[in-house]
Amino acid sequence: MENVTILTIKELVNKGRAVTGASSLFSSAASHSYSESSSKNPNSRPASFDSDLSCKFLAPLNHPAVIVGTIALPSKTLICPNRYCFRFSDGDLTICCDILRFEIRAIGSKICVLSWNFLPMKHCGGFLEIIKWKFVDTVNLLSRCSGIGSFPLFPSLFPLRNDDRKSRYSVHGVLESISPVSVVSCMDGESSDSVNLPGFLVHVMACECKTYSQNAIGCSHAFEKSVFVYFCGLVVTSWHPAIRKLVGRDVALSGLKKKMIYVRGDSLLVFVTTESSVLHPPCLSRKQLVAKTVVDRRGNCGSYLGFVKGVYLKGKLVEMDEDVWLLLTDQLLNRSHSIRTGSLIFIRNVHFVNTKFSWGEVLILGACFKTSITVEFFSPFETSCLVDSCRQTSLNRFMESLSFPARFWTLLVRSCFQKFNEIPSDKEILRSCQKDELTKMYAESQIPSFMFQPRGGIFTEFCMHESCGCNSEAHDCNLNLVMPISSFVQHYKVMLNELLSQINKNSSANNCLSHSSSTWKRDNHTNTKTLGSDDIGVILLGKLKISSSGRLQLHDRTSSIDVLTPDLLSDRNAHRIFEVSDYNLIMEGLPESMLHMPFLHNSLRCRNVVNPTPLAIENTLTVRFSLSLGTGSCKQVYGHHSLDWRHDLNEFKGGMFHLFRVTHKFPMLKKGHPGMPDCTSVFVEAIVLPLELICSVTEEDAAAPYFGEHDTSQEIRPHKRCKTNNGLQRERALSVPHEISCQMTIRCASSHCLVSAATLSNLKEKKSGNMLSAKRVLLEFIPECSNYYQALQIGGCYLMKHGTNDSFCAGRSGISNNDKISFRPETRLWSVEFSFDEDLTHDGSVDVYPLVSSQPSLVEKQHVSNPQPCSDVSLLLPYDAKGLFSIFLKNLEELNKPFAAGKNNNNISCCTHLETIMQAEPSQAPPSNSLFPEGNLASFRGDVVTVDAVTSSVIDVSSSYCINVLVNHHIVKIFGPLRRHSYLTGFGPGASATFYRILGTGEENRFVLTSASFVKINSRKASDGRQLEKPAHQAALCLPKVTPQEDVPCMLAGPACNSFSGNKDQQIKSACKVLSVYLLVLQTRSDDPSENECRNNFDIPLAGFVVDDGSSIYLCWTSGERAFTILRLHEELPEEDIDVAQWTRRDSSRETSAYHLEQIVRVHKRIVMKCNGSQIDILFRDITVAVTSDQLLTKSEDTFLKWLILNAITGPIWELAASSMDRKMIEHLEREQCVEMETSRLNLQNVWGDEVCQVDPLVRAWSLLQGLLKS
Amino acid sequence: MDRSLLNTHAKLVARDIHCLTQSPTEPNSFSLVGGSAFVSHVETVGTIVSRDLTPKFLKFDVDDGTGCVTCILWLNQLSSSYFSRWDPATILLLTRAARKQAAKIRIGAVARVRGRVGSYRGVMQITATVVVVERDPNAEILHWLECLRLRPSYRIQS
Repeated sequence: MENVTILTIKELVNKGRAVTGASSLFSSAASHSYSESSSKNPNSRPASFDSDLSCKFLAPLNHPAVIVGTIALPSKTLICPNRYCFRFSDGDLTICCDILRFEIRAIGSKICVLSWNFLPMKHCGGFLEIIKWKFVDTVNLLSRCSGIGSFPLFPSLFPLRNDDRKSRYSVHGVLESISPVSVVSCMDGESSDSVNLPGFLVHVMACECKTYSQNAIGCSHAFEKSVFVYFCGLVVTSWHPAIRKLVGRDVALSGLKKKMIYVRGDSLLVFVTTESSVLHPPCLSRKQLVAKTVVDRRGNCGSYLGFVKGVYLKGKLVEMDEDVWLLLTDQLLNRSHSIRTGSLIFIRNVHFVNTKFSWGEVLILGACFKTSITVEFFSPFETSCLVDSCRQTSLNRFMESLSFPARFWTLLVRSCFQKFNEIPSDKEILRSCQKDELTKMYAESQIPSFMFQPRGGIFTEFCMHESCGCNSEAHDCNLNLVMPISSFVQHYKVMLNELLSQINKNSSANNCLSHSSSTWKRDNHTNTKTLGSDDIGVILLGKLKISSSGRLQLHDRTSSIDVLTPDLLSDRNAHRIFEVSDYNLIMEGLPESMLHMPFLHNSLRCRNVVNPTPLAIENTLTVRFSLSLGTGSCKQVYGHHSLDWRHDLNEFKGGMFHLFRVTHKFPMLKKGHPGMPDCTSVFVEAIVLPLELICSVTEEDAAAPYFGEHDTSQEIRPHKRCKTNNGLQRERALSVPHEISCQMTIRCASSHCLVSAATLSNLKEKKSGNMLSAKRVLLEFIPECSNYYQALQIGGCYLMKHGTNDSFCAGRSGISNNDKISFRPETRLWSVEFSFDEDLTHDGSVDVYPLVSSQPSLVEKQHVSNPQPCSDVSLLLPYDAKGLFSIFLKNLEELNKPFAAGKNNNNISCCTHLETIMQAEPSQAPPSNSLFPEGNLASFRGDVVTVDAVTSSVIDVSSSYCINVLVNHHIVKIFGPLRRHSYLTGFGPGASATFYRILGTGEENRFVLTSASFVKINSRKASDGRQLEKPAHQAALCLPKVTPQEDVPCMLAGPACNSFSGNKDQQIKSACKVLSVYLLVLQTRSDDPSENECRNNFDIPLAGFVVDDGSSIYLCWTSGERAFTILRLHEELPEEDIDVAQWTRRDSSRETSAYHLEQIVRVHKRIVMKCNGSQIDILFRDITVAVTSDQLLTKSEDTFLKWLILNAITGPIWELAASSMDRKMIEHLEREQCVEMETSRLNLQNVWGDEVCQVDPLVRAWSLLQGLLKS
Repeated sequence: MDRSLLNTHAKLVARDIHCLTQSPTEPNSFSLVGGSAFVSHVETVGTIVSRDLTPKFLKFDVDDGTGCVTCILWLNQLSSSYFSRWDPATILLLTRAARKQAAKIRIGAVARVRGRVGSYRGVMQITATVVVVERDPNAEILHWLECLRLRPSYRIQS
């Protein structure tokens, strides 16, 4: 002790560092404390702290140091937000403190702190955790202990009035529980003013003996009588932290008076402290240690001992053990600073609520007014202290009225809303809808009424705890978990990884791994598994945005996920938070082995919700996640109604609107694709209707909006008289009347409607008021407006406010056909739908009231346009306008549809000029020598059955995919370069899609996707991947598939070449080997970084192989998966072949050649390798490798590419299905890939490899034998 | 002279390989029995029955049931003057590939040998370029049947 430094509080506070110190360095008190904990919770795993929490230990002082000072009860001189903390003062400075092994006599005594933790705090300088201490003045101590052993609750400067007869009662027993400090408003006897008197209640199980004597403590008393003592007054309340430390121990109080109080109509005897009250603590030697049983339960209440694993949401939520959560939601509860991550706490009288949520089971420890928490051991980690905010928000009040499971759920929601940090940049929403408000509003809408519980106040709940319903919580809870997106995705990533490791374990045990090249598929995006939200039980909250790559995403601060939605409100407020509850989670790119495995049902961890730090999992899988939303499932979390509403009405008030219909969207193509220009704009083809909508929403409408719960609740307001044109009937049937009155229903995002009168007018088009005045225009969307582009739907009608600066009017006198119009970012659009009412007809009379007569609920609505369940504006038109609008609103999904349901549907009957405008493509192309593909355009809707990676060339378009679509129970094949289309989130088997403007090939049921084709995904069905077992798919994916019944043509040799040239369309099959790789084009598949993370991200758009079938040599061109197979890229990289030091295996799962090649391609973006020799001995003599990156190919990369060729040559015999290639196709490929194929150099026959798979010797031998026997 | 098969690896059984006759005009071309077609590369499948490793090459015999053909796999890429102007990394790559193949050539294994056919001291032998050890026992039968199937193309007269 000689070298021990005495530290002052000032030194510690000035340093401002969290430190731990002790009088002796060789007996670290903190670590000692941990090893001491003999009776700790078997479920709690302190050893797992390091790995789970990665907390930093408190920095120890490098020299022995003690602190000398005085412990004092809380007072107003030290303002601490937690209000009732012990104070520690060394004479110079006072800070908050907590103390282990507390004794009452320490209060006011000078103590020497032997081991301690100091944590800096903003509010009061710092916080001292006293672990070991001793009295400095032992002489005085002895006199204190022997002499008195009793402590007056009032300081002695107040004169003791022992003669007061009223305060003669004493209580002695075991201190069961203590309430938090509450304030009671009462009348001051002297001044008759109302004063707020703080106080707290304690519950003592007392002995019934009348008198108390010092010596009686611990004697044969029967502590059976339940007694409540009220500590009343400012001075006495300061004893709260000291009395809290005595819970569970026996105490005696004397000098009390009796009071009868009335709680819920029942009278209750309570002892109240007086100025002469004295506390008699247990004597030091007879101290009773609390039995540290983990779970000590009486009824629903009990005690719990465990380590704190995390403190969240300002201490309201404390994570104890796995799926054990302590709720400290009541504002009155005193939260000690020392409840820190890593501390061992003992919770008494806490409610055990074992709750089954839809996502898993959680043990909730609900703290009520009887609960007291003592810290048994301080945390050795440098974790922050809990500081109570003392702020009583409406959310807090709301939470206090809930049952514990509902409180827990609300806290989880609150932590999710925390993920929207940057909400209020929008002026209207920010002020009122803060996170707490949003949480409250959202929770109110979700929590069923039975989960609310009435509160009775502190006296009722403390004194009549059992009967006040405090412990009657509902234990099953149907609330869905609200999760941050990153945690949600992370959960499924972890699950898939576990599943994969399980599969790997099984397969290695069974040794049933088949040939890797036959099981791996490049296009494993077809390996999709879908999980419905009902099975998942999770709600996601997020904002919708369009990513830079043109994908619609739901995002919060943690992450984002691709979204596929059939309807999107044209609501462009990017700050609105949406709730997604009805969805399918699509996991694309699963290994095939996983498809048939039942998914593990890992319960979702709440920890991931409140603390979404991604676990460091080994990312062996490259799965892409996306959500397919159901119709109308994307609900806005309540914003501020009146503000939204007023804003919308102001937009409509007396405004004129252009009306246009989207007839086609030109797809957003991937940038940087070879052969494609980098186009930054996207285009939409639209028909501008010759009508303008004049809205009659008035100030009165705007002033008194109606907030309906549902969309159906509409408000009928008296309408102005709308004139119809007198000469209407004299117009020809298809001409446009000058005015059509209609009823307009405006639907706002905050789900309420306003019905108003409106007029469709063609006043501007008076002179040419017929159909011809509908104009076809091309709307150009610059990248800033791409979210508008995304929201527009083909077939949908939209309103655009008329003004001098709107896109249609700015800088032009009028719109002409085929105008290219730049869409202006400030323009606002509303989607509009039309319905026709049979009751409303124009009879030509003057001053009719066409719309007031019918109630909207009675109206039979007939949607003519593309069904848009969520349109912003709905127009109810007279029935006789239907004929007129049916031309405008012609179904765009049924153009040249194969297998049309009706007989005459193949050709659209109503052939008008408008239609010619809309189609604008030749319906029957005359034979020509054009370089471009020709054929009829078609649009239809169907269900995608399979997406096969079959490369074939269909009318000059080399296609890497064949989409089999079920249309009217028939399969239609659509070929095309699918990968170019960057918007196809969620596309794959199970998707219901509409294909717009795809090219008919002339062959029956064969179509081609062109760069102008648009694919809209309408919905996705939950699928379990069973469709993959279909033979069509299997064939396409290069699995061995030759059946013994299949005859192999015998006459392939030699004349095979002739057969190619002679018969153009004949596909031949041969067994051949690779002699050389003639040309190889490798490139990154996408420039989208989000894709790069999760996909095998390179492609072989073209590869030429010199192959030999024993009778002839030919040049076989192919691409994609077939090239991968022939190059054996999915096989393991053999170590001995090349010096693999530079291709070190960082990860055992990444040992395929494909993986290493991907690293090279990623660097160089595009590699073109040409090899001129056809035989191995001259193979590498003339080899050229060109890369598009600025970097040179390193030696090792060059060697690896050459090794690839060698590896292909030493491969097995392949069964190849090939078709001949003509000059035209070769030229087309050259153009597309921007390479010179130099097919003439080797003077070999060129073929296109459609399918390739490894020869099964037995199957082929059988076939050959049968062929030979026949001949 | 039919030169259409010259670059093709003709699938032949050992008996046919031994019946090849050297072209009087082109030393590297051999005519098939009774036919007018000439070949320079062959492919055969059989069991390895002998193995003789020297520092420069590996000599092994392949027996396919109709006869036994001697095959040579050169391992001298590093020292051969033929490769002297090649890029050292490529030579190393070829050496490794050859040695890897040589390591797999074991007596009793069924191997598919492709290479240039030649005559050494009056006996036909194959200078192997690619040797693939077949794991499937049906590979040998398949080769027989392929040879049978292709005989008309090679215009081999029985």
